[in-house]
Amino acid sequence: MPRREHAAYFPDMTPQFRSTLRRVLAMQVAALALLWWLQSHYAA
Amino acid sequence: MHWINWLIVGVYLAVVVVDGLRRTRGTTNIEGYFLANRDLPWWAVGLSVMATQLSAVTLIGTTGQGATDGMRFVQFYFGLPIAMVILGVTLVPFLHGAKVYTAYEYLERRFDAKTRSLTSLLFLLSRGMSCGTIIAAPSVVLSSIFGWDLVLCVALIGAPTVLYTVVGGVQAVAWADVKQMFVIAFAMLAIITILIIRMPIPLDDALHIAGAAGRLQVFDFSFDLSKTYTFWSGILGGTFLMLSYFGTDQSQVQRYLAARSVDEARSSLLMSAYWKIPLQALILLTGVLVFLFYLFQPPPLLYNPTHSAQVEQEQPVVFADLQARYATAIAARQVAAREAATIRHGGDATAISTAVEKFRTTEAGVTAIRTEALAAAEKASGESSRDVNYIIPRFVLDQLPLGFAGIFLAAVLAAAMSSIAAELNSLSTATVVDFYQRWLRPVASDAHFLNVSKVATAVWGVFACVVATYAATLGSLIEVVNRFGSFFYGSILGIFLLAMIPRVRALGAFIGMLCGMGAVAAVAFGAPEISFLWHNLIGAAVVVAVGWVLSLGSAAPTPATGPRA
Repeated sequence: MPRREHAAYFPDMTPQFRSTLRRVLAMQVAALALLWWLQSHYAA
Repeated sequence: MHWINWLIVGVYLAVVVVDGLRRTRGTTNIEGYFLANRDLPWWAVGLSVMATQLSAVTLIGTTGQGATDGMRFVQFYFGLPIAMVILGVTLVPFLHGAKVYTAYEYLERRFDAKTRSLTSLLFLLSRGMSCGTIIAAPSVVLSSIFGWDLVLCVALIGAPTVLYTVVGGVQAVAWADVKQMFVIAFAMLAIITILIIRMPIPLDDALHIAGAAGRLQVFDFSFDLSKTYTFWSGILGGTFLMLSYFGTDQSQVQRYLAARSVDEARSSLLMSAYWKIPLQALILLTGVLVFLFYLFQPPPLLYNPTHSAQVEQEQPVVFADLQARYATAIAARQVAAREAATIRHGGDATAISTAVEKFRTTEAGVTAIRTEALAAAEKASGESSRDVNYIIPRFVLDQLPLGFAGIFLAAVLAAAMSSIAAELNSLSTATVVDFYQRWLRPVASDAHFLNVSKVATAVWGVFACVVATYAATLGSLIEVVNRFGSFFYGSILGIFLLAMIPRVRALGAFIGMLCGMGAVAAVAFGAPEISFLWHNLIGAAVVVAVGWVLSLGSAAPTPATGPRA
C-alpha cells in the first residue's frame, strides 16, 4: 500500500500513543517474566 | 447462609438497580440509550470492557480450573494484549470515526447491505443463545449449592439485570460494570488474603508443593494443534480469537463506540491489554491456593452437593466405601505434603526428591478415588458430573468467615450481570439499528425508536431467561448453536480485515465470508482433534485470501465507501 494511503488507513499514531504501547509491551514482558519465574522457581 | 451474607447481597443488588434506574434521566434518543451520547470516559469504558468479558463462569470456573489443572489456562490470554494493540491502530479508528451504532453498520458503508445483514444476523443468533448460557451457568451452580429451584436462581440474576438494562440503557450498563468490577476485584483479593492467612505452612513452602503437583506449570511450548492451551495456540490462535471478540462482536464494540474520542476508545482497550493477563493469573492462583488449602483440610469427595446426595441415596454402600478410602487417602496426602514442605529446610537432595515423589503418589491416589466418585455421580444423576465450577463456591461457603460468602455471592452476581447486561444492550442495538431501522421503519421520531429499543431489550432479556431456565433440556441445542457460532467468528473478523484493504469489493468479501465459514466447518468436522483456538485463524485467513483474490483487477473504492465515510 502506498505510504500516503497507508497513513489514511492507520491514522493517529501519536507520540503519546506510541509511549502507551511501549508501556503495554513492558507490562506484558514483566507479567510473562513473573509467570516464568513462578514456574521455574517452584518446580520440584 | 447467614442473614448478614444475604444483607450484603441485597445491598449490592439494590445499589446496582437503583443507580441503573437513575441513569435513564436525560436519555431522549437511541444515541443516548445505546452509546451514552458517545461521552463515556475511557476508564469507565475500559472497566466495562473487562467486566463484560469476565462472566460468572470465568469467576467460578477459572478458579476451579486453577485448583484442578493449575495455571496453564493463562496461556489462552497471551494473544489479548497483541489483539488490543492491533485493534487500537486499525479497527477502533475505523469504527469510531465512522460514527456507527453497530460494527455491522460499517460493513454496509464499505461493502453492501447483505454483508451487513448476514453478519448482524449471525451475531444475533449466536449471542442470543449464549446470553442464555451466561445466565444458566451460575444459576445451575447456585441452584445446586443452595437447593433452590433453577427458575428462582435465573430470576435472581436475570430480573434485576433486565430491569436496569431496559430502563437505563448503556449508561446503566457501563456504570454498573464499573461498580461490578470493583466488587469482583475486592472479593478476589479478600479470598486470597484469607487463604494466605489460613495456610497452615509458610506460603513459600506451600507454593513448592503446588509446583511439585504441577499446578504452577504455565508454559507449554509444544506445537501440538490438538492441545487447547499451549504458548503458540495462545499467541497465534488467541490473538485471532481476541481480535474477533473485541473487534467484531457488538457486545464489545459497543463499549468503545461510547467513548468520547478515538484516543479514549483506544485507552479503554489498552486497559485490558495492561491488566488481563495479571488478572487471569491472579484468578488461577486463587484456585491453586484453594488446592493447597485443601491439602491440610479435608475436602469434599464431590463438590456438587446434589450429586453427592444422589450417590449416597442410590448407592449407599459404594458411597460409604468411597468416603472411607477418600478419608484415608486425604490423610496420607496431608502427611506427605507436610513432610515435603519441612524436609526442604534441612534434608539432602535425595531426601527432598523422595518426599516429593511420595507426595505425588498420594496425590495420584486421591485423584483416582475422585475419578471413581465422579463416575458414580454421573451414573446416579444421568448428567455430567464435572464439578470444577463447584470448588470455589463450596470453599467460600464452608470455610470463609461470616460476610465473605455474601461478598463472594455478590461478586458472582456482578460477574454474571455485567456480561448479561452488555449482551442484552448489544442484541437490542443490532436488532433495532441493523434490522428494524434499516429494513422496516427507516424514519420515525426519537421517542419511537427509544421505545422500540427498550421493548427489544426486554424481549431479548425474557428470551435469555427462558433459554437459561431450559438450559438442562436445551443443552445439546445450545451446544450446536455455540459450535455453529465458532464457525463464523473468525470469518466475521476476516470481513473486517478485508474492509481495510482498499481494492476488495463487496461480492468478493461476501463469497469470501461464506468460504471462510465453510472452511472452519470442514476443519471442525473433518479434523475435530484441532483445537477450537485455531478455527478463528483459519476462518479469517480463508476469508481474506478468497475475498482478496476475487477482487483482483477491480478498481479501488471511491472515497465515499472508504473508512472515513
